[in-house]
Amino acid sequence: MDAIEYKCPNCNADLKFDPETQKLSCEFCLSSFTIEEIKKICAAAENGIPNKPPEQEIQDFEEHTNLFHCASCGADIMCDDQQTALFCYYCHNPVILAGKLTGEYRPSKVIAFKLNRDRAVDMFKKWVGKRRFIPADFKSEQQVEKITGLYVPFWVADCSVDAKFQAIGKKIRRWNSGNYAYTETKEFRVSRSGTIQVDGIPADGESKIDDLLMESIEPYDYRELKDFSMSYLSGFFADKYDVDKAGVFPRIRSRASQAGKKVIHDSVGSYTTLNVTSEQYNIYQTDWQYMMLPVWFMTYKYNDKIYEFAINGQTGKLAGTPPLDKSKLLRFCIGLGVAVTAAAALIGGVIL
Amino acid sequence: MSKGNKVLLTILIYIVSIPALIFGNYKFANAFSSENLYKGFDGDSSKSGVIDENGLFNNDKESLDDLNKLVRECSEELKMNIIIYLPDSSRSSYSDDRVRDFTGRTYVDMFGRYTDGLLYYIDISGKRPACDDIAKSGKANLIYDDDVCQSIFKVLDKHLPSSSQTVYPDHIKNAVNSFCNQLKKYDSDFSPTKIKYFHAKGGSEKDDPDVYVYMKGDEYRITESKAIGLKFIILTVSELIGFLTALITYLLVKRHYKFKSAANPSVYVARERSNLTDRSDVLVRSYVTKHKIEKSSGGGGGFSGGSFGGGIGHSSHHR
Repeated sequence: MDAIEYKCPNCNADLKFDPETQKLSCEFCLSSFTIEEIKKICAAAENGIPNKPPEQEIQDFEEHTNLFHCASCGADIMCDDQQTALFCYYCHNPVILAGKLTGEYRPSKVIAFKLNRDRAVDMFKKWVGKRRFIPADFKSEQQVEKITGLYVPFWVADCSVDAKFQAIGKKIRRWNSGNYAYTETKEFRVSRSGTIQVDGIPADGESKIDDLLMESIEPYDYRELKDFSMSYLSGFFADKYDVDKAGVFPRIRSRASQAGKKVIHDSVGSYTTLNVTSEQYNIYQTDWQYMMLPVWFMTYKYNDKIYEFAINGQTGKLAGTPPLDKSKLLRFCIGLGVAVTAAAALIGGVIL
Repeated sequence: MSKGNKVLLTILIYIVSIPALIFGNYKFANAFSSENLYKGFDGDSSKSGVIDENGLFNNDKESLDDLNKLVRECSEELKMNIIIYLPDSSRSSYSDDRVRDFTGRTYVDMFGRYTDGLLYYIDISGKRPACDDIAKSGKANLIYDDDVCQSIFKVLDKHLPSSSQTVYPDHIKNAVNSFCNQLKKYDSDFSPTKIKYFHAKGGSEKDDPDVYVYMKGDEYRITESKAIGLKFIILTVSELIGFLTALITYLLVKRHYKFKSAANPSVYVARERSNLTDRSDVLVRSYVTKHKIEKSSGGGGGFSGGSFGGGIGHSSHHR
């Protein structure tokens, strides 16, 4: 099997996926094509993206993805065979080529990057700009360079939740008449049960990335889901999952139950007090999909702690834990404290 | 450094820094002090005595001389000027403030500002209620603070008749005798503390400023600048305010650098495919309770007033 190269039909240069236009574009002749167009144009050609049976797609995936391994933190970075990963996106140490991937790691769906690097950098700078006590080198160009476009592997689950809820609700009304205060209490037996469908709960399959960070940049708009194609990886890196479905299921179950609970509690009217006597949320059916979702990702090591920062590559939602330069903050607080002390002493007339 | 060592170090820093800060505050408070206006006692007790404006002792000069002798002895012993003033009926219309104004001015006219001494005004003018006043100057402000004076008044109440009753010379003799004894007693009981001070309000004139009477070591001081003790308190409170501001700022900023909470998973609920088969709210019972509304009442009030300044403090009492 010949290597699949995403070549420009006009100039034969490499095509790269442009998140802004959602097209494959050529940096040399400035041509651009949708994936469908490329499929049509190159239907018969070896350098195209032909419609293939799944077995062949899996074989392509296995042959045309390289796996790089970080000996320092253990991360596995995946990219197409046209790219070479030099540094680990997570710990910034050099990575080494570890070989090819097996077909089981090929995702079925993907959401392409919509947010380009420049916008991601702008958003990061804006976010950093609001924080005064960040270490100086966190804002540096060197650090900004580390922002990496990364496809994060996600297990996405559709769950059917069986909900059972029992509670005693009280409605209390108070009024005064003459010299007396009256309180009317009405007690209700509140009962709810039924099926709640929760679709598309994502859980990342990468143990190195903080789960909460990924949950914070949700949700993704699944209407833009596409069948996975190697072309989407052009210009970006991807992670190999290291947590399987079974591993993420406790998180999925917890979040599905949380969603179900919200629906049930929202359906309960406005009671003055609500005493829940029993509440059960059982997941009885789960459908899984394995997909790659786009994230602009950056890590920063400060005082032996890794700080992670992520932007949803589709919606631009941003999350992260900003590192705090405690000595800078301490200096500021001491300065402020001294100024306030001096002002208070002056107002109090201590030197008069 | 381990966490335990860090905690120990923090405790050690607090143990060292708090006394250092207190010592620093004391030194700082001492560093800024204006001229000492204190005049003390000139050693001449002959000017002390009883001023019988009322003429109560007109027919008993001997008793008046005895009282004068008693007061002068007391003055000599306590090293301060002492005047007992017995007003006549022309002062019966004086308000309490005017009484205090009068006693302050009289003392200053007789002995000057910032000298050690006091003037005891026994209100036998016929004013109702009688307003006895002790106008204090110099160290008397510290030795005979208001609590002490109220105790003295309480003792003197046993010797003096109430406003509506006639005053006889014996009443005054007994009262002055007792007053001198009380002055001696509280003088011997007085133990000066370095942060004790008295703030004497000034008058409306420019040369009558607020002054602070206090002790620095064994030395009495009267200065226009605040008392060392007061400066120390202001400085300590200012530092506390500064520390709390810094601490709150630190915690608020630190909180701002925490991770923001994750998205609510309820966004993934497919409401059109969800179905609640049971959705019932059944009234189990209903009841009404009633309580009588309790009514509350308000409290009383007080009064305050001003007087002539001149570094004089006052303690007044109604009989």
